[in-house]
Amino acid sequence: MTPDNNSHQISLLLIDWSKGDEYALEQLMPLVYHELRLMARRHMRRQPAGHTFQTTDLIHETYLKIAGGEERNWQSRTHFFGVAAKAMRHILVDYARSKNNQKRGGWQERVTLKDNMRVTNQSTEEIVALDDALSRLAALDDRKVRVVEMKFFAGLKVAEIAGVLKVSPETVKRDWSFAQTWLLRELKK
Amino acid sequence: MDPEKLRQIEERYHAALELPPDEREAYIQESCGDDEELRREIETLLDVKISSNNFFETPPLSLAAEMFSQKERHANLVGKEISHYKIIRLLGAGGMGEVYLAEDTKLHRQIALKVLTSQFESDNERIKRFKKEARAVSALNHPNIITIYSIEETEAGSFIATEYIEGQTLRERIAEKPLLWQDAVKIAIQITGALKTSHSVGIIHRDIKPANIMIRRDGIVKVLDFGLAKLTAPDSGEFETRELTGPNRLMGTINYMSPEQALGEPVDPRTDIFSFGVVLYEMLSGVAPFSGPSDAAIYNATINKIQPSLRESNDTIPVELDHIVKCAMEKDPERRYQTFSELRADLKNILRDSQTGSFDNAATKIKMRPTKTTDLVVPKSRRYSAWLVAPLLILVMLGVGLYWKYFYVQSSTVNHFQSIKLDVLTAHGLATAVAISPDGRYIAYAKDEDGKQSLWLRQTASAGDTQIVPPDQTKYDYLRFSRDGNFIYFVGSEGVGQPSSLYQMTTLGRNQRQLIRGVDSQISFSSDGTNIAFIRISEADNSIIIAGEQGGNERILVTRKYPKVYGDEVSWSPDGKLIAVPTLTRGATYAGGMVVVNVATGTETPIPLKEEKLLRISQIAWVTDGKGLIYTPYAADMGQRYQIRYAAYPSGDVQNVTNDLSSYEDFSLTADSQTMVAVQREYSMGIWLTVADDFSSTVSINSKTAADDGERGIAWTKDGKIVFVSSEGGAQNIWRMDADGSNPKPLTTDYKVGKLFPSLSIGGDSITFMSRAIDPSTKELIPGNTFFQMDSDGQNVHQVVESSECAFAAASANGDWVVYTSRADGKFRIWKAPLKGGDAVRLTDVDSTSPAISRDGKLVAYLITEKGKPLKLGIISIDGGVPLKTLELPATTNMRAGITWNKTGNGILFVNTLGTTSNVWTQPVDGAKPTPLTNFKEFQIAQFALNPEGNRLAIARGSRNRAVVLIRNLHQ
Repeated sequence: MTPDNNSHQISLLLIDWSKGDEYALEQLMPLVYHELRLMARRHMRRQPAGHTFQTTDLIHETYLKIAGGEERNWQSRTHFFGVAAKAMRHILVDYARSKNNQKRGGWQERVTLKDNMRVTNQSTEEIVALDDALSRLAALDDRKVRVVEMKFFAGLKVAEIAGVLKVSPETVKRDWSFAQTWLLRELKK
Repeated sequence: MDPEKLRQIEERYHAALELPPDEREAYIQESCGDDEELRREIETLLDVKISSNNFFETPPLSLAAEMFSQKERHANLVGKEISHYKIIRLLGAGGMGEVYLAEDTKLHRQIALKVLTSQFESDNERIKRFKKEARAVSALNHPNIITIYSIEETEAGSFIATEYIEGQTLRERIAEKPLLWQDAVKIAIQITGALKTSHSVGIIHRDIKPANIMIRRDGIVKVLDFGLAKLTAPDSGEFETRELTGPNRLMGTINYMSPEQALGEPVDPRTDIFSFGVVLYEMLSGVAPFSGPSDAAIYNATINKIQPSLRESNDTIPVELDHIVKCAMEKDPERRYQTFSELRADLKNILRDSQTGSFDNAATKIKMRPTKTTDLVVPKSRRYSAWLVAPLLILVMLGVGLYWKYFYVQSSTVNHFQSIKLDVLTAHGLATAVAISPDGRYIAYAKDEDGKQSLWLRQTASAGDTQIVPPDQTKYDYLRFSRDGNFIYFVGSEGVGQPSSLYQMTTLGRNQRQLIRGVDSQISFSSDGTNIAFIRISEADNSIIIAGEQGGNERILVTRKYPKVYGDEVSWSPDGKLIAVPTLTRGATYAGGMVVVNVATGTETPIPLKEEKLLRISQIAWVTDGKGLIYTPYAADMGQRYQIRYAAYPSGDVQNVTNDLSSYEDFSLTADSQTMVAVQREYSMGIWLTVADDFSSTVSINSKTAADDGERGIAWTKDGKIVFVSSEGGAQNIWRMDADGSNPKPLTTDYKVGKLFPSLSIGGDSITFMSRAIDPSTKELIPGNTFFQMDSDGQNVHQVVESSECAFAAASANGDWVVYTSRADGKFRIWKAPLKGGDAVRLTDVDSTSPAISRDGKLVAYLITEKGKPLKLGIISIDGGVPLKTLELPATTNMRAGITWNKTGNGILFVNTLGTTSNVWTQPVDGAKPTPLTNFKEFQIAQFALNPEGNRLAIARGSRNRAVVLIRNLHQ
């Protein structure tokens, strides 16, 4: 599949999904996942080693590529953000899980470098625990999970999240505040 | 909890937060009423909020960055082509890049491609290190070190193409199931071989760990990822102490670091000895000796803690082995093993001693440093009386001295040849003899395919080869260009067993003519080009002969009598006054040397070579300035490998030109002595067994004693043990081991078994073999071969057939007869001799070799090798008469491997080599088409044997690669 076909298909699926076709989401995920990876690679290549990586930039760029350089459909853009955030969550959690497995004795042993890129507060174990907590939260309030995905994993702004969820920015803030507290308590359990 | 409950919690949570802190408690009490659960939920959430940490403040950016930077590349590379490599899949990621499985579309083989991670493409330091690694490893040449095929740079990035190793890492192997200590030691011995070699050329690995060691499916161990290897500065005689990236940067996995590495101190080769000790410890105990919850704890343990004794966790581990590990893991490098040679010797001894049952004496044989020294290092405050310290000091100084000698002397001796460049020119691995034109522009070499040799010419600067003489019966033993480069001379014969002569032809292979009959060595031209010197061998003596350049005018310069004879090459000095020639004493053990003969007087003067245990020098050549000679010796401790050396004349001071695990078996210098070509032989044999009743499944029995195990003969005893010829220890002897490779033990100690043609056969309870006989009074070898027989435990050796021209023996299962090839009548014929005494009888009257007696003892099969006719299989009654059958065999049959009858007697097993891969095939006696029995995908078979039950094969096979290499920058 060429990238162009891929982008086109993503656009169509986004429209289907916005019309309420949940099946479209299932098909979207792997495509968005793939696009994000490709874009991230380009992104990393352009940057000097050790620069700060921005997931938001990545998602915006990926969307621009899919949309063919112009934002033709505001609707599909917001839907894309929603899907991309979910994709980011899966990508990062999968990676964190595989790293944890390696630590526990997977086949691959990485050289331990004390690199200066490690500025994050989150360990891979915490990311995996967060994912489990999010799954529990989804059973109680799915919208809060989506807020967390967009805010935390994708780094989107409150206004953008509000657009995707079709709620007020105030609601997003309240959801975000409560979800953080609830999840932190879960993580401390 | 349900969604409604969460909604209630959230509503009160937000409301409480909007209140001033001191009013919240009252609000919660009031709004929750009796709902204790609700109240507790809100209170715990508010506690979290108040003590909130910054977990959610930033997205997990560094995790994302890390992930995308390392995993992205393969998404793009798989399926693509870089250079002529088609990427198949990602194999893994290392410190500096990803490793892919790829196909070499030119050579159609699978390779591993290590690609520098895109993130590092702009990082010059990384690139430098990446290339340094590649260069360092490609300079090494060892069966236990990963082979580098090429280092390339393309638009897609820098990469290294290496051998693809199928198997598992030692890390996986350790995790899988506990290793028997014997197996751990066998793996360890292979690792020491690799590191011994890398240290000998000044490369420290610096990152020895189980993940960097692969175990191939056939049991061969490969050390990979000399990622941190750092070439040492050979001219200073000291090892460079700092990493490229700065003095304190810690590289390598910390669990396997040496204390000096952990402390950021200067490191030398002994750091690898420590890391190796840690790996061996982990293999034996299953756990890493230094561990902890944090890096700091591991550093601390590495630097300060003494690991628990291995015997605490496993008391089957011999005390001596525990000591070896302790000695390798001494904190102070001075107290460790100083070289891998010592360590390797001790490991080999412990294995040998456990197998020969002389284990109680092992301690006395192990040349270890005192292992109690740890007590003296820790604690530091302890004071020692002078009498205790003095001997230790001496020991330490001795250690330093040895170390200095080993490393400093080695590096200073390679000094003049440190910048040599070695390029492999041929990929087919079939080269035999080689020559370079005096101006260096042309290279001629002989190629041996299935016993037929052809002659090829190549322009040094280009990659194309031209066949100038097609394959035929001619054997090219030595090649030379004429001084003007217009002619090629060769010493050779018109077939196996024919006398050698000197021939001349144009460089395009035309106008071939015989110049001199009876030439048995390489030739050398006098400086004015008017004369040729060579060696001629006769029954009792051999002589240096000088003849005119077109033959004729022969005169004998000097003659030596057996057993102190000349070697195979002469070299006329640049001033024309001297001829240098290797000498050889053919006794029970060989002794090699070198003399110069004065051309005017014929007087010999030895060159006092500063070399020990020299068994033989194969070739010799003066360098242009007349101040030294390049020669190829092999010493007792070199494992049948000829290395290229330089000896100053007349002092005999020696310098290494090469020092690796290849063997250099023919060489030729240009007129300015700056460039040479050589035939580089790589060589590794091992013994494989097929699974009972399934010839297509094989297991390697990883019991290596020497690199040629079984190459010159292999057989099964009646009780299912394996008997094989091995050159372990320098001389070829017969060994016996169990069918799982355990308990290898020499049965003979002083026989030169199978000098030319392998011959080892078991009939009944006795082993029949061919050997050079030793004169009981002089203890020297008698010329010619003799058949001997001994009991299967090595006792009761006696001579059975005496014939100076015999080879390829086979004994009948009932022990009545031995059949063999003999040239007693001047032609190759099959003979039989009664083992219980009596006269030998000739069975065949065509050129025939490699007889095999059927299991019922009634029939003899043999190969028919008539000149100019296809190879055939003949079958004749043991009682003689006319041949019962004659069948054609494939032209690709490996004649040296011999043949054997299958169990039922309806088929003959033989070795068929297609391309460079051998398998055992069956030729049905009824004349049907032959079919393969084994299913090997690589390597050649040297020898094979079917067990007495007829359902298992023992096979000696391995890689034998003979490549033409060009060596430049020889600055003497």
